[in-house]
Amino acid sequence: MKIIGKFFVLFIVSALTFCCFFSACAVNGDIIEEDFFMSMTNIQQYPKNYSDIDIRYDCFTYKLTDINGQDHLCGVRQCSSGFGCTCGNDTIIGFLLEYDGEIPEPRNQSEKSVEKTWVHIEGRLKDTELREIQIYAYTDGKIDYQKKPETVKFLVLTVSEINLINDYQNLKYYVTK
Amino acid sequence: MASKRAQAEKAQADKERRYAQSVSALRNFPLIAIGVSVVCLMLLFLNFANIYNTNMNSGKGGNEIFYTGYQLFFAAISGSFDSPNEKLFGHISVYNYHTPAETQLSGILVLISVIFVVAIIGLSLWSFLGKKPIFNVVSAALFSAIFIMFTVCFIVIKTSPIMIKYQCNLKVCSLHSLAIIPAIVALIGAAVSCFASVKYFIARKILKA
Repeated sequence: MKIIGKFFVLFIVSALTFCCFFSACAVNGDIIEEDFFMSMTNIQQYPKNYSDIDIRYDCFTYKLTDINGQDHLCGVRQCSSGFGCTCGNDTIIGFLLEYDGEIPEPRNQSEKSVEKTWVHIEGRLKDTELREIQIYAYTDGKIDYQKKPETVKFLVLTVSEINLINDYQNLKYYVTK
Repeated sequence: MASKRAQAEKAQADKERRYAQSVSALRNFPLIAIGVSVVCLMLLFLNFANIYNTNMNSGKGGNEIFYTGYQLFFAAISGSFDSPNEKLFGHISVYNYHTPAETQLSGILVLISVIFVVAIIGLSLWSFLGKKPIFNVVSAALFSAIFIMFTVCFIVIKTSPIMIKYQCNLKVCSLHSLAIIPAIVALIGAAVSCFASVKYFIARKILKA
């Protein structure tokens, strides 16, 4: 009887361990600051895993102007162009935003400072296709027509809610792995 | 007639005594197998794949993306090669994105290897407590299989084309794997178990002679 009891306890503990383990495997739509780069990379690499879940994250608004002069509003943070490199080729990581309402205008978007327009965004991926946007390269904050245009790829987020963040001093505008 | 029978009985008793002596010399081999298996399991904490970047941490080198043997094992057992959970799976999702076949194959190999290692521990315990040296033969076969699987895993990781897809034009990164270390330890386990198996078969010949 004691042996059966021990096996029962062992079975329950194993079952709970497996439940915890597999719940940890499930993807989550809440992107926290510590995992921002890794989560965004994962969403871009496996968008199908996130197509049916709500995505929530803090970011600053950013206006991309393509080579045709069309503006695209994004919710992003700055990061290195390589996964973990510090080569100085910084870029942005986030989503193109589609919203019925008004998206707050970006400010100081290219400056190396936290003084930007910070927002909390909630929404779902519009689809799993990456949009390619061709942009001019910048040198010292100005368009450099000598360089070849770059192609950046973004997923589109259909925003359901967007809230301005006033207390943003502790948020990181630059994220790394 | 009686003396012939007594002689035969004495010879048989002598054979059994020599057999028992030979087999008792094998008594500690299962413990060695358990020790080697535990070392194998410990070595799964090593990085089975890592991309080293010489230009990280403000000019200093460092591991850019990596995963350990256990993280590969967890990914294989749960099928979550695409999970962003760094603590549980390291950066397997990035490797899986660029080289899915290689990543998943190495995961399956590690999963089977871990099952075999656990099987060796169980069998060796049974062998030690039940005085059944025949299980040294099984351990030898399992250790050999583990050696092959870890070696294949090492080769698959090292020869995967991830650097072509991941690194682009940067020449500052290099791909490394420590999966060969548990393979070497498994080879030592196989050698020890093979030695014990040979000694066991020699001991059995005493009985048959």
